Amino acid sequence: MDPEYSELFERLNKQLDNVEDVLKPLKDAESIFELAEGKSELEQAKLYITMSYAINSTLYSFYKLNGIDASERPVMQELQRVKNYISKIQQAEKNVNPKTEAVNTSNAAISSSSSNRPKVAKDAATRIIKHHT
Amino acid sequence: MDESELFKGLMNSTAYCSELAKVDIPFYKSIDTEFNENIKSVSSRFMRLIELLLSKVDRSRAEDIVDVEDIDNRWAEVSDTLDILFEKADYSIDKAQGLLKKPAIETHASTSDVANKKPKKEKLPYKVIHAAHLTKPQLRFRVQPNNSREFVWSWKLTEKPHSLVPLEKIIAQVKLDPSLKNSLPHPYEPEIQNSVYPPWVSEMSNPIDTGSVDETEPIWVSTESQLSDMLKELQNSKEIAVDLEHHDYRSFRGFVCLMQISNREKDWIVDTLELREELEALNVVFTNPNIIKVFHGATMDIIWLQRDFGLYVVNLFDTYYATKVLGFEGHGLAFLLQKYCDYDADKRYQMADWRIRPLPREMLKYAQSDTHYLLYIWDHLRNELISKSAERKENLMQSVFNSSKQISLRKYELEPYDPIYGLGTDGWRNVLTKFGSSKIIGREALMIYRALHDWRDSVARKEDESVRYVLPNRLLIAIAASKPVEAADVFSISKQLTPIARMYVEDIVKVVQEAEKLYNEQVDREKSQFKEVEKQNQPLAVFSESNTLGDYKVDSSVFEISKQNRSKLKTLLANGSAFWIEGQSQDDLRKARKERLFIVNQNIPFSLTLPCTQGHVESELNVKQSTVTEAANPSLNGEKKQEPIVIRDLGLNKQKRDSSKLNHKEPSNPIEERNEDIEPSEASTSVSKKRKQKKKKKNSGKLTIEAEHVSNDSPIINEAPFDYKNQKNFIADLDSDVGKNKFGKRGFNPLNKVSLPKRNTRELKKRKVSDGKSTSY
Repeated sequence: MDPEYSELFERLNKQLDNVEDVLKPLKDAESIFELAEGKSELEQAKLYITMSYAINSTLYSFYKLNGIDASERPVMQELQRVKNYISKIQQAEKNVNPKTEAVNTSNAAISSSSSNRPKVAKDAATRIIKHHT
Repeated sequence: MDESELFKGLMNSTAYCSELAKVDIPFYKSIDTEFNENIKSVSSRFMRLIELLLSKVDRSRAEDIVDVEDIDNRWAEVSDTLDILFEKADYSIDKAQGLLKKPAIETHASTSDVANKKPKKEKLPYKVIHAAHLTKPQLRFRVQPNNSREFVWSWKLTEKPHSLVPLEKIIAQVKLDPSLKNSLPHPYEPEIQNSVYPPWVSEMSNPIDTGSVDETEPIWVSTESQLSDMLKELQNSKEIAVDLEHHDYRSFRGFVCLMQISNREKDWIVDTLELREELEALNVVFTNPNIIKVFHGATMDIIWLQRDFGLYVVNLFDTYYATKVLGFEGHGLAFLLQKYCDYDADKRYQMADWRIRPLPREMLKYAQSDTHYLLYIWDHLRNELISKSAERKENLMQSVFNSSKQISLRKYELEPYDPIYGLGTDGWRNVLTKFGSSKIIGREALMIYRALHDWRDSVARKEDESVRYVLPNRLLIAIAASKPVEAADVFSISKQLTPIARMYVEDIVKVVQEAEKLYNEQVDREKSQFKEVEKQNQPLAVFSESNTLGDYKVDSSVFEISKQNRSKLKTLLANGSAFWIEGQSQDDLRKARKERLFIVNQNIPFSLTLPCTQGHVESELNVKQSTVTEAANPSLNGEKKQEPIVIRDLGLNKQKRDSSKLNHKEPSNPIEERNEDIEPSEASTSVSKKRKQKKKKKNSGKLTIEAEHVSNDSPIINEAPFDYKNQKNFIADLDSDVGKNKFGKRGFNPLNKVSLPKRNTRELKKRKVSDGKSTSY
């Protein structure tokens, strides 16, 4: 086998080892909802969305690895839903804690324009008000 | 679990898988064994990871996922698992933002409401409602009831206490007037009409509470000694309360079973089955105007007292009418008991069988409660009537008194059985309209129904049972509709056949069959009558034949016919004469109209001539006619146009032109006059010009042509002064002109016959046209 591919396989296996390490608490627990107990509402939401991302991402990798075109599968639609929910959670965080901005490591996967609200043109508004008064 | 680390790991693994996917994986799998093994091992790790993740969300959906095909085939389950996660996330996000709100109304039922609900009372046992086993108490009556159809009822009075008119006088009146036998007068009518409430009734008073029903025990009255004791105490009272319990299911006319009487101290319950003939003694109290008798709903009580005991009530106060006048929500005794005494009467016993002896305790208590509280209620009602009378400035007490008086004046009368028209409350017509209008169809069914109804009434009278007990109305109609032929048919109609109906099944079948026979006989009679009518028609024909055969008779018949014809002719002539008269009148109207039209036509020319001179009038007429002819006959213009060509040929010679002009002028008179005016002097020419100007104003461009013509002619005439030349020209030209005109016209207009004035007009027009052209030429 080509040494380039063997190196890729080694790295892939390492990443999977990391994923399995992270998922140990889930493996020990009876269900995802057991892990959600005792957490705040937003943390619960994050947990659920991460879980759905994990399922879809793993399926996507599996399709790729077996030479199947994943774009034709419904997995792509589900991944799009995950993106939408991530932006929802970000907006909710801003509403709950408007002063502090949460740092999201998964920000790269989200387009920033969709998460921002449209701002009011204050200068134009003041000019209109003065004109009418 | 750290979400950020999980994201990192998954994203990196996805990246590496994408990197590997750049090569043709199936191809390399087939070539390189080590590559294939690596792919398999990593794929199995991914698959186990997927299985773990799915099982932690919903274990039931994640079973036995081994291959990609499994995932594709069971994508619905995977999708459901993902939906669970998304819905949970939605809920958490909304809750964090505070968007969820608790419901405003809780759906839990309050226990207090449940406790407040009254438990539904069970129905009374059938024994209490109808004691079927009981022997009839009326069999033990001293005076047996007379249920005959011919029975004539009379008062039960033997004496008349508190009377204004003695009983002997009323009896004497009845004997003198036979018509009163069927409707006896009310024996206490004058006393009731003249009665007045005692003065203390109109005064306010504190209601006297006599305590609860449980605190006092009613006194059972079933012997004469007990009755006399009750009478003594009642006579000392100012007011008493009375109520009755009646039974009419096992008796044809019904009878009173119980009478309850209360005063301020005691409650009595009288056994009216035992003391039926002795209770007339109560009239001493009931007809005493100084004692107020308080009833509730006394409409039927008054009737029953008269029928069974000969009792009459003077100075009645009916609390039912008090509730009406005061406008209460309810008008029953139960409402009043609840309102003033907070007592819940058990109204189930209202329909109980009061013939039962001895009475159970519950029934005794119920009977006592009907009168025990009534005087207390009467106090409250009196006070309210007095206070509201003051407010409204009306005497409400008097109105209640008047209504109660009318109730006291009701009298008992027997309702006769009406087999023909079915009148009465229980008559066959009423029952038919209520229950059987859709079932009893046809004359036969109706006859059977009426026969059964009659039979039911007679059996009820004989057995002293109510009509409803013998045969209920619905069953009566069902039997009549089904027309039974034998007893089994009757039994099959209903399983709940009454005992008497079972006993008399054979009689029922007989009645039905006899009714059918009667119906058939009627039908046969009608048919036979129809045949008889047909037979009668035949001899009439025979008579007519005999009339025609006899000579004398024939003459008489002809005479009669001639008479009829004459009368008809007279009528026709009369009608015709009227018609013709009308026709003549119409003709006269038409003639009158025509005459009027002629008159109008004659008047027109006279009106035209008056304002103008003759010359002007003629010229105007000519002009109008010319215009009319042009409009009517456009073809003439073409003919006129052809003539000027001839004139042009002639026009080459000047002498001929002058002669032609002069000749054209001669035949018309006005033209000659104009010429004479022109010759003598210049002043005359100016006058003629003025006249022409007037014509110009009136007429259009045609006159302009005439003016030019005249202006051209005048210098020529002035140039020739010798008269002799003119005279010679006139004579010669006349002959030539006559011939030319005749031939020319005939040649151009061979078929037209035109009058002279029209010819003149044409000539004038021709001159105008030719002259104009010649001048230009």
